[in-house]
Amino acid sequence: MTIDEQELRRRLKMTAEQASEPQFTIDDLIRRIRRRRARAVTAAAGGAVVAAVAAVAVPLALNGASHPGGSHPEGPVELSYAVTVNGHTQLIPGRTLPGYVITPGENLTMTVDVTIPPHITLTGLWLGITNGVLTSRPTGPADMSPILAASTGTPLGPGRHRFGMHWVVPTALSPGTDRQLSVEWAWSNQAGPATAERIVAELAVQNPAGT
Amino acid sequence: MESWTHTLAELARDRAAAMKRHAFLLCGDDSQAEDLVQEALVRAFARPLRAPRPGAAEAYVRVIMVNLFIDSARRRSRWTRAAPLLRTPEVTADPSDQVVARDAMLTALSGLSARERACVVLRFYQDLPVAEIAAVLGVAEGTVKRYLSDGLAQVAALLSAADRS
Repeated sequence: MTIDEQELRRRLKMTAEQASEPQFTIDDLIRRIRRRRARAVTAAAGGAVVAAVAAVAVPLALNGASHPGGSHPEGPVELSYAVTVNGHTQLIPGRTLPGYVITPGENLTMTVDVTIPPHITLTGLWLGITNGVLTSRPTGPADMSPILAASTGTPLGPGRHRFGMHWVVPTALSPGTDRQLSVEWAWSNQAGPATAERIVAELAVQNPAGT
Repeated sequence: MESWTHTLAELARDRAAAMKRHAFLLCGDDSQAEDLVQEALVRAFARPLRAPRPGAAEAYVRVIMVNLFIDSARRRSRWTRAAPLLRTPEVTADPSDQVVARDAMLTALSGLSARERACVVLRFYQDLPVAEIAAVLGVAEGTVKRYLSDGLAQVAALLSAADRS
């Protein structure tokens, strides 16, 4: 028999119909989703990924530990940020991260206002795109590609610093995937060099249904 | 009940079987299809501000499903290249005509690359137009046409050979 498109459709349909009925329950799914949502919220509190979708911006809470005696804090240094992507800035209440829907090939203009607390001096700061993993090393970010902005030559003192960046979303990114706009910073304390990193916005590739 | 749970419950109740059939054609294995549908549903609803709207939810889940399948096939191919002798046959022999036909179809599909297979399933099972398939996979329409042409030729050859034997 010749296998034309019509015959292929018939055979695919017949094959698909031999799949068994789904065994999972709605309750199981809801439990898994709630667990994953809870993990995401926990991660956000620690600075990892949380999703969000509308055009937004977020200043993250300033937890940290500035040191009154100078620029050598013993504890972690936390920064605060305000993010704008293509002119859209909007505050999301709570500790969620800002999220933006992006499309492959789109040219993004982003600004990040980084506020460094009093008495803190950073020895380096990098902003760029990450893909779910963000680790740091003394020489700079290990998983940031591309690095869109950096301040490494001269120390960065307290106050607000604005970084402007452009990024063209790769056309190869599939719908439903994510990237993150992330920041890494470095400072020195009595124990030696220290670094920290945070995701400051999630960039979600739009799927064709527009969701 | 939160709105997302309502959307999810409706989707799972009315469309889970159809999504599993789609997943079965993608991966060719019943238990993997079950996992694929569940994982796609969980991912679709796990992000509070990205949970799909009612009406668009099924299309969204199917997009995630296809991309999960392609990603997992890419990871799996590294392993199967390294340990081909450890693979067990994905389908077992069964004398009934229907099962023989199913096995021939799944064997033919398994000869395609993940992207070719996704294209063939989306075009000839889901009836999606080429432009929509290109958007789902994040590739150009011309690439989809090439995948479809190559995939159809290969599947047709294998099915014809199976019919003759």
